[in-house]
Amino acid sequence: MDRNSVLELVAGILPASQINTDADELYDAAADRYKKYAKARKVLDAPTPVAIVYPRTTEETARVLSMCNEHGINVIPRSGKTATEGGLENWKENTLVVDARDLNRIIKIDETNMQATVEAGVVLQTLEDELNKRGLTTGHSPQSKPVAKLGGLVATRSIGQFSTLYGGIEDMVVGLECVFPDGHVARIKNVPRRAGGPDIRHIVIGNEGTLCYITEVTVKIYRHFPENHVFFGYLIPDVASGIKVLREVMVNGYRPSVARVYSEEDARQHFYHFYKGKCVLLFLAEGNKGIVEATCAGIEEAVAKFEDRIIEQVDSSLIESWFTHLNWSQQDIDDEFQGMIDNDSHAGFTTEVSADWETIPTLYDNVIKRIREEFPRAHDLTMLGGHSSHSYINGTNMYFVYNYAIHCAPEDEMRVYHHPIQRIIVEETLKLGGSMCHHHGIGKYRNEWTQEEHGSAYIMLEKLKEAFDPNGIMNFGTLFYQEEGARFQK
Amino acid sequence: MRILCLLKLVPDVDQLEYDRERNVLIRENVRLVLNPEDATAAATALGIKRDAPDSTIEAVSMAPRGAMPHLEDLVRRGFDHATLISDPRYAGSDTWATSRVLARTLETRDFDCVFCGTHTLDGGTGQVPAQVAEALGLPVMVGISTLVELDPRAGQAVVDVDGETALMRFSVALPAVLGFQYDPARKLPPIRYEDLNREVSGQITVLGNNELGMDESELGLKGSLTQVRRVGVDGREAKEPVLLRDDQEGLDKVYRWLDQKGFLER
Amino acid sequence: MKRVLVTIDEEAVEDSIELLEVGRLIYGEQGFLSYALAAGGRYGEAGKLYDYLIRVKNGPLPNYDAATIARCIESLHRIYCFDAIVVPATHWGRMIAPRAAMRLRAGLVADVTGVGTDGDQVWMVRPAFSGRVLATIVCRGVGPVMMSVRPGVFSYSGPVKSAELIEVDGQDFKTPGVRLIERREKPVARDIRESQVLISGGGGAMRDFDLLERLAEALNGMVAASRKVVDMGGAPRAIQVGQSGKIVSPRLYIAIGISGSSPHVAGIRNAEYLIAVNSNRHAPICSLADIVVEGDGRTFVEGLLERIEAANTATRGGEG
Repeated sequence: MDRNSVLELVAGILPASQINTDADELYDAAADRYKKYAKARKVLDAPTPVAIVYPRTTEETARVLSMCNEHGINVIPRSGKTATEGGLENWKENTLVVDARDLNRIIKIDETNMQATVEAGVVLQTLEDELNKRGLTTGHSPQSKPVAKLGGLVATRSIGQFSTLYGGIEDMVVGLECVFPDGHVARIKNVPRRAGGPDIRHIVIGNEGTLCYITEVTVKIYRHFPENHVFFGYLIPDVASGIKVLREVMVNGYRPSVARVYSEEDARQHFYHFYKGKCVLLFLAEGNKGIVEATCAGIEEAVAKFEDRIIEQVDSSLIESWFTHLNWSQQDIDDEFQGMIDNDSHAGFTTEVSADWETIPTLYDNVIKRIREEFPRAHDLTMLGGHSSHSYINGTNMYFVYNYAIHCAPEDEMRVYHHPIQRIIVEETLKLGGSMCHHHGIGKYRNEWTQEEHGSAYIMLEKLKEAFDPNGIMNFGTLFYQEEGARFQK
Repeated sequence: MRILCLLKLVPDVDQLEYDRERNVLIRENVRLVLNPEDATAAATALGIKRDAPDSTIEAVSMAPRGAMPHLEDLVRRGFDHATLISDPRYAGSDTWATSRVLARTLETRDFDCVFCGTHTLDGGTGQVPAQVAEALGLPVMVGISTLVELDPRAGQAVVDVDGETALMRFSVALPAVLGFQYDPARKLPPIRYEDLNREVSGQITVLGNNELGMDESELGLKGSLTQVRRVGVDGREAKEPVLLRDDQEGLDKVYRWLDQKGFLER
Repeated sequence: MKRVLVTIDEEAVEDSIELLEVGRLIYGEQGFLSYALAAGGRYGEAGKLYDYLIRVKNGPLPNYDAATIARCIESLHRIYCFDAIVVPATHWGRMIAPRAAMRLRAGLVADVTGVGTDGDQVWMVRPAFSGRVLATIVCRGVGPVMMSVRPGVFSYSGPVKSAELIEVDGQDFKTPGVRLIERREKPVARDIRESQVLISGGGGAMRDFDLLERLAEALNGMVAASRKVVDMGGAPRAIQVGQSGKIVSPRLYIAIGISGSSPHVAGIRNAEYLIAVNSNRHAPICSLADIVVEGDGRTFVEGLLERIEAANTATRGGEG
């Protein structure tokens, strides 16, 4: 089937105003932030999709999907475009990007039952602003909040800056509506909890567009008390010390909304004005007054217990002021784009993993050591470090960050720099029993390790794919390794 | 045509932190980078070789052993040869001692021109090109923005220099030392993928004092004619900034400060 | 009695003459004899301030001919045995001084911004690591102490003298090697990277760019802007400072209403002096500033302009 035939089929379902074939936008749609550098330098190797389509209703979405299912057309579900792991990258000639741009209605904000229902194309910041007016919040605040939309946030099992209090998206979703490749629309109703068989929401949450298309989401909402916020910041000698304090706070039952430890080089990016070459530990206590007071006491107790590991306390106003400017805006993204064209550099990459308390410090040290010793271009590294930013009773994440001077051609940057580093991080994490993908999703670029990540449970994912997407039209290459896609990965 | 490039590897100045307690710069874990102006010089040489493939271009660098990957990268980009001058006895050399070591290395070589940068990110004295030139008895010109012509047969190079008050064009008799000014548009070409792991040790020579044979008294700290007594900060990072308000007193102070620093002269 | 030689760069005569102050700081007003070498033929008022004025017949020896002037300096040193030789750190001085130092086997300190003595020893201060630190250096060996000195740092005011004339023959030193083909006076700097003074406006100064222009003009500088302003259409991209704009290294950077995010600061790391004007004195940029003015940008600029304009009126003798 050629591209024109695909266009004809689409034209039979959607009006021209909802079909986009602009060449620049199709080029942009061929990859996501994973290949940001190659895209900026116009050396992308991924094929461009045939069109970007904008369904306005669930029903239109269902017709598009079932048409694609019938004709074997690859579908890339897309909303905010903030994906960082290749989840939105295109590996097929006949692909339609189904963009939730016009599914952008806030359907209901229900203060009595503390639930908000929105279509998949609503920007999280838009919903959050609406809620803030009423003294409420979603509690979900990924750095992409001003740009990311609910569909993608649910599809990738995203997590936000306040997760240590509110949880990840999986804790916030109540019910949802999604469309399967055969056109079937499934609505999962909004109930506080049930034991009606396995929790089928979890087939959808985190499916990364490989099983269905999310059209509507209902999330819990919370009372918001920003006036009670208390910030804490400390300089510490190393990451392991910070992890000890984090663990103490969590294990004692406290839930600060933010609890983070930054390594020196990562701290440098954010806190150059006060980090003095040390690691940084920081907290935010949030919520109702009584809760904040108790949380503050808990934090101070934990810090006191490890006071020999604390170098000094940092002025809270510095932490607060940093925090309020943390999120991306579309301008930040565009700006990095321009920088990649003008200079041979970008703002760096990340690989985020998780493990239990005992494992994380070892994992961190092993990774840093291996990269410095084994990576052939280690002399080009301009930054290597990481931070822990999401803690649980039983462990935490580690968000590795790295950047480098690029001395090869733009089209080779991935395989010369990013992939070898990422490989080391994933290998060390899996070796120590952690998870290689804490919250960005596997996307396409860690799919060679999906099986190892899940071990004997992998078959459960495979069966889901067979059951819901037997024709394999949903986001080819994401989650599941595909030999055909290997050439884009090397 | 034979071109020798004198290149310096310097610490990545942006990564340097100052330890206020010990009053030293923290140089551990700071990566080495090719001095930007030297990279311009190297890129110029590579450009010449690209246009005249039978020219020979060689990189020469006096550096610690950690500089090796950088020299390998230069050879992979097209330099015919790289020489690393490395010896623990050279540590602590000032520009005088450094220039004499470089001159000793070059004096037995045959070349039409020596390329280098002008100022370095670390020392920033800009002295080495002229001192090497004097030691070798060659003409020198630094701060070159454009190499207009390089003609060994005619025995001259024509260069443009951005002087403080005028743009000037000079003819410099070859052989000569030419110091380049940083040009962001003239970058080192990327290393081609197939060259990244190419074995280049056959094109790299390491020289120490055993080969150069300089008198021990002329080496390193002992052989230097200048000595750093102390390193401090200029105040920006050591002490709190002067804190003023936008009132009459504050504005008066700012005005006086500007005057004192010479910013109000016309 | 000590002897100090100062070379006069014909393109920076006043700045060169001021280097007499270096001699005074080291040896005291009465402690030395001063020699001015006018190799390039121009020497302004040097004859009224120095003890000796050295002129070159069969010259001039232009400042770009470093090899020739270095030989001249060497020859003079063989005769007069200077204790210190001071060269203005102009583009040319920074080639002349190293060549001369090599010939004299003397230690040379470049781009000096401060001098003093510690007993008999002379120390010199200079910026290093792209201006991030100041290094204090001493010379070793028999001397002379040699230094190139940053113009505009020192100024001299002392008794009027009448210099004795010394004449040398340029023919003795001329070496072929560098010849000037053409010279074109530079056009006014258009690129902010070339400006020594930048008045930079951020989000907090969006509506004040007209004022910033006036201040830039008054300080012989240019206006620059942060990314936020450029994105909001308040300034052209060509004057954007920062990681994705231009990296600048002016002598003076006045940041008005700029918070100082890491990418912006990466663009001004090498600025010599930084004045931050911000309503928030905890804005990250403040930790890098020499002076922080807490308050309103407009108030600051207007107040400063008032003072500058008042002073200009005064020096013009009450015009207007």
